[in-house]
Amino acid sequence: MKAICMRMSSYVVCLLFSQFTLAQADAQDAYNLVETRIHSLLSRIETLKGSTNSTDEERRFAVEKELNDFIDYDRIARRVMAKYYKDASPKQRDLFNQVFKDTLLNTYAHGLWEFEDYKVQLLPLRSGEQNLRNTQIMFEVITASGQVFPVTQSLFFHPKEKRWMVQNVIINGVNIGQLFRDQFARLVTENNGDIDLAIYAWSNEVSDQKTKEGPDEASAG
Amino acid sequence: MQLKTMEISVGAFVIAGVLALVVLAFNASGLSYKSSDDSYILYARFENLAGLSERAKVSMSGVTIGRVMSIDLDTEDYVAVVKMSINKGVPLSTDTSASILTAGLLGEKYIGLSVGADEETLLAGDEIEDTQSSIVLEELIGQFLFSRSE
Repeated sequence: MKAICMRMSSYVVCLLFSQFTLAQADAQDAYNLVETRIHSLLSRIETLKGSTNSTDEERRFAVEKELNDFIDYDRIARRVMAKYYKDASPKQRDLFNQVFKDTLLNTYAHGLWEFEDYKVQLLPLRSGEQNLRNTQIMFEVITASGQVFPVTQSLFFHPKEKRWMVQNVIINGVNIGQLFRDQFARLVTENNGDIDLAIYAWSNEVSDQKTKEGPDEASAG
Repeated sequence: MQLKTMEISVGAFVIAGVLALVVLAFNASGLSYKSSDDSYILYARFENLAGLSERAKVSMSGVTIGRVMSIDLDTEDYVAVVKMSINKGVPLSTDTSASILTAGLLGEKYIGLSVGADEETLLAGDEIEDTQSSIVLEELIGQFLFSRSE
């Protein structure tokens, strides 16, 4: 009986240890993926910046191509809709997914082109924040003047796609996913719980912001 | 006889006063008589707590649903680990987010939870992974001054 117990406990220890090693290895995969994708995106942007006649559409397309299989837009949109997701119809969910993806890509494309002469430096993995549901990869964006913006990307292991995908980003301490969630909740409240109107207001607010910033500014760089 | 009745009344009055003070102290400090069977434990990691203290409120939509039980520093990653006790009647989805917020003019810090869309719920001992640390005024001023100097 004692021998069986000993064998069982050693088996459990081995199993736990192998799970731990697996999680560590996976976090390293996520780290490598972020590193590869950042460099790939930056080099693509540099190439496009070199050609003076690149249009807004081309820039957006370039960003979309680089990020499409790296960012889980559906998951992020679902987290933004949060408690309203359950009440939304499949049509409303699809509509918000599309609107949200457009918002995110336009913001990314605009922001990446606006920055000049910056470099990205990845920070070492943190031990306490790594599991298959949430692995955080930290890096710093350093501008030419020396200003440092800490960025944390939260990734999860997609069980169907069998790869790491981005689910949130924290820039300079501001949790962007949560900021979007608060904004969506505000729009639903302002529109008396009407999700259609909230989605419409979301797309309007984003296009208003783009108009205020102006097309010239958006294409600067 | 009348003197004795008077003495007993004064004694009872003093005891009632002391009890009232004890109740007041418990309420003001956030201590509760609830047994731990009515709640479950969750953890959250924050870069900066900026004044959040033990027994601070954990609320959702303005309703108190738990308390901060303890605060520790993870000396490996140098982040704050907050242990919270949440009422058992409040299931939270795995994509629930936690923020450190400020209440009232006195600036009392508390944790605000915002529920997500996942069907799966957090179990006792799980960690809320989506967190928003407190905004520190000095950092904001520093960033503002830095951006003005450029």
